[in-house]
Parts: sequence; structure tokens; C-alpha cells
Amino acid sequence: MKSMKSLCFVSSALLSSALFSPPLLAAERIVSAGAGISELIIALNGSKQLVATDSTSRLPQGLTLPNVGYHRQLASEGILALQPTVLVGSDEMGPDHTLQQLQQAGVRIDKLSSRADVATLQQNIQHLGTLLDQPVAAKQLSQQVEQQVTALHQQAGQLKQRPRLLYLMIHPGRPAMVAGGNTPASTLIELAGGMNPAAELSNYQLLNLESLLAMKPDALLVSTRSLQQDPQLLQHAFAHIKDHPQLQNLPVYPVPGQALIGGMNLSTVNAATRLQQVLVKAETTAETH
Amino acid sequence: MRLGTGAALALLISPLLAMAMLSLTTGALPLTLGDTWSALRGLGDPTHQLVIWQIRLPRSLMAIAVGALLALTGAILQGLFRNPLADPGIIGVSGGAALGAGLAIVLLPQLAIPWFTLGSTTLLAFVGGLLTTLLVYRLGHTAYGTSMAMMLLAGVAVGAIAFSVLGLLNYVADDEQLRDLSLWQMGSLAGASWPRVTLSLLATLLLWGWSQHQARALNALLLGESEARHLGVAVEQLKRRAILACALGVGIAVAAAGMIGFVGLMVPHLIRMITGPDYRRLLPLSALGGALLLLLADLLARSLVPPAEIPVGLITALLGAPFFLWLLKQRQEARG
Repeated sequence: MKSMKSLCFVSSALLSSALFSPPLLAAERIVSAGAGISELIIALNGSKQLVATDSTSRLPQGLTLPNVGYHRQLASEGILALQPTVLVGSDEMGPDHTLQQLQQAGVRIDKLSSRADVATLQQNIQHLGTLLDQPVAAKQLSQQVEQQVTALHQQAGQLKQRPRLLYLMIHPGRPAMVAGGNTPASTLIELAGGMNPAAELSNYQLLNLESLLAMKPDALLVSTRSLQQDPQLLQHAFAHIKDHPQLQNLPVYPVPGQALIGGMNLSTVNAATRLQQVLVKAETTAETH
Repeated sequence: MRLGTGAALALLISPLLAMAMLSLTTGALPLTLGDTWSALRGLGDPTHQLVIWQIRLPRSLMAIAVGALLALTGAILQGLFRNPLADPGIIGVSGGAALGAGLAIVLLPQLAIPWFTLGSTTLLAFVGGLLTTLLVYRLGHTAYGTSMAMMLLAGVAVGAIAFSVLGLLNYVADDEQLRDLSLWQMGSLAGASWPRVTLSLLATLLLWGWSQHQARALNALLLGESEARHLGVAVEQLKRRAILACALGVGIAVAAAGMIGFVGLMVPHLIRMITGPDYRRLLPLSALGGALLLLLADLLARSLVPPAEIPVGLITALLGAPFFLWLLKQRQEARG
């Protein structure tokens, strides 16, 4: 077993040194338990060091890795069998006894904050850059995020007024829920230059038609996937919406679900940029009319 | 197809041993029989030792203990209520334990009791299960003794109250807590640790010992309460003690592993079909059958989708319910 381990170590080290030439010691075997974290690891050239991800992570085409399941329900033996050196996840991963057992077996546990703000994203980039021994890539990525956020702020200043945007989570047959202030959806709205009228709520809360009307949204955001599954989802989620012309004609913008799970991540920033373009365009169209 | 006690014991003990062996050697980490044996003796690769001593062995033992506890209580309660549908849920334990665990998950997520290593969810689940059972027992207690019919109805009503409060907790819970709640209700043996294993094994032995001692009285009770009284059974006392014993047993099982359905309902029925309703045989055989079923279910739970796991409660229901239906149908046809 020992020789097997060192064989793996040597071969992966050789492989990564051939590709990126980092120092030999850098080859970690990483299990990533978090969508945003896996995304960052891949963006930081770390996919060679990744041995498994959790059920929320999306991998680029051509890369398939074992799935360790839901990040709050990790199974110690399954993870141990992958012989990782470190388990990286958000501060929500667990359960604790699994983490303790992994630690006993010599696996390092690396918890990153899942707060939905840009500063946390930057911290996580730095942290993973050090872990993967990719300081240059981390610096580049960090600058790229900073530029993107600066551009977002500048563009937002040019909007005549901050549109009131609500993100709705709609599952067929279940009442709609609205994203409160501490969610990545809310951060996305703010970054794009809008404002979330539901920001005083926390997490996701149930929303009825009356409260929706009271929040006077200028547009609604829903996940791309649910809009594809049911283009009429608003009509299905809110009966009598047709009696409210102001709501019926409300623009509905799709947001990729990947941007909204597991704290602030790179997809959130990219989705904010795209949403802002849509908002700017909508304002210009409204002016010409 | 009724069998003698010896044959039935052999029929259950040998697969239980085989299943326990299989459970120790199977898992996400491939270990040979030799690896397992040296790890058991504290030799060889430290990772193997950790997997065997901290993960597979406590887990297998807990599957045995919890499976046996659930099946034993099911057997006792079915006789006590003279109702084939009786399972631990009927005296309110499941509802109360779920409510206790829900309170711990949603309202006290930060509560860590330093000397109590089992965690607040476990503690509150146990306390919740016990309190609701006492309430149901109180409600069923009339001037003429304990009315089983009244207890049955009170159990249903108290269960409904517990689950509606749980619904309220679901409503106020955030996404993570919601997911924790639903996973807890599906049951899992992944939390097996030595203190839990010791506690549940001890409870199993005590419950089995006590109920075996009462087997003749439980048999008499099958005839009816007044008949049992005429045969010299202290019926009130038996009912009170049996309910308390079952509440403690199920409380410990549920606190240790969450809600695992179908074992308590199904296993005693299966055993009755094989060996008949005599409690002297029914009790030990139910315990063995429950242990065997849960061990198999847990083996599947942790080896079907590695490196992830499936909650074991899902497997017991998926595996058990169709098999049970098939057996019922077989028996019906055999009778003609």
C-alpha cells in the first residue's frame, strides 16, 4: 500500500511538473466539497490535483471524477478510499464525525468561508492559490475578478436608476421562494447594479402574489433551467397573475443556477456581468420608446 | 412451512455471521480478508486499522444492535396492542424523537455540551421520544386501567401534533437545516461511534433479557387481557413495563441512527410466518432477523454508490416493503 501511495505521488508529481512545472512537493490529492470551490480549483489549473468533487460541483467537459455525495453528508470511508491529502469545502461541510475520522487518518481539512461577498471570493482565491502552489494563476485570477467588479461598479453608475430585481426560486408544484439579502442571488443583483427589495429577508423565504406586488419589482430573475423546463412558470407559480397586467408584462431574466449555489463564486461575477448588459440594454430600449 | 426453534436459529445465526463478515470486508476502500484480519488485530496499514476499528466495526455492531432493538420492540408492541400494524410509531416514540431532533437541528445548532459526546440532536431525540410516550401512556390511562384502544388513538393524535410542529420547524429552517432535517428522518448508521455502539448493544441485551423473561406472560396476553388476568398475569404491570421498555429501546435506537422504518413492523411478521406466534421463539428470532436485515441494508447503503452513501432508511423500505408484500401474497395463495 505504501509503495502504491508513493507511486501515485510520484506519477502525479511527474505529470504536473511536465505540464506546469511547479515544485515537486506541490502535488496534493484534493477532494473538493463545494461547487464554487471546485470551479476555483479548475480555474487555478488545479484539476490535475483534484481526485473527487461533491454532488453540487459541475466539471468541464472531458473531466470526470468520483462524486462524494452531498457536502453535509460526506462518508469517511468513501473519501479515504480515494487517498486524498486534503479535503477542501465550505464551512458548512460535514458531518463533524466524518471530518474527525478523516483528520485521524491524516487528511487535512480545509474550510473556506461561504459568505456571499467579493472579499470572501478574493480570500478563497488566495487561499486555494497557495494550496495548489499556483501563486501566479491566483494573482491573475484575483486581478481579473477585481477588474470585472470595478467594471461592474462603473457601469452600474451609468444606469439612470437602480432597477428593483427579485430572484425567485420556483420548483414545479411548490410555492415560489424569494432570495433574501444574505444569498449569492442578492449579491449578484447588487453587483449588476440593481437592488433587491427582499434584502431585509434572510435566506430563501416563501412569497405570495400579494407580497410580490408590494415589492414593486421592475424585473424578475429565475434560474435558466427552470425557465427552460417551463416557460410559463410564473403563471403556474402565481395563480391570478393574469389579473395584474403590471406583473404579467414584467421582464423575466434567466440566471444560471451555478452562479447561485455554495456562496459567492466565479459564475456569480460572470452572471452579474451578463445581467448588467441586459439591464443597460433594457434601459436604452425604454428611453427610445 | 413452520420450523423448529433450533432450525430457525441456525437459519438466522449463520447468515448473520456471514453478513457481519461481509460487512467488515466490504466498503469503498478495497480490503482483502487478510488486510481485514490484520487490521482487526491492530497490525498493518494504519489507514486500514482506522477504517476497520473506527468505521466498519462500530457500524456493523450498531446495525446489529439497532436492527435487533427495532424488531424486538415491534414484536412486543404488536402483542401488547394485539394489532398487526403496531410499530414503534404507534406509541408516539418516532414522532416525539423526530420533533426532538428537529428542535436540536433548527433551534439549537450551536449547542454543544462538552461532556456529552453524542451531541444535542441525539439527546433531544431520546428525550422527545420518551416524553411523548409518557404522554400517550397518560392519555391512555383510565380509571379502569390502561386502555390499549385509547393509547392507540392518543398515539396517532400525539404523533400528528409532533409532526405538525416539525412542519413548523421545517418552515422556519434555512436550506442547510432543512436538508439536515430530512436526512435525519431517513436514518443513517454513519454516525456510529463506540459510545453509541456500547449504549445500543447494552439496550438490546437488556430489552431482550427482560422480554424473554416475560415471554409466557406476553403469550397469555395474546389470548386477551381478561384471559391473561385469569391465567395469573399482572396485566397492568406488564403493560406499563413493556411500554416503558419499548420507549427506552426505540428511543435509543432512534437517537443513535435516526428514523429507520419497516424493520420493527416487518421482521416480527416474517418470523411469525416462519415459526408461529410463541414469544419464547419470536423474541430471539426477531432480534436476529432485525439485525440481519439492517446489516444487509447498511451494507448496500454504503457500497452501492461509492464514494457517496444512501440513507439506510430508504433501503430498508425499498428492500423490505416489496419482499413483505410478496410474502403476504405467497401465504394467501398457500391458504387457497
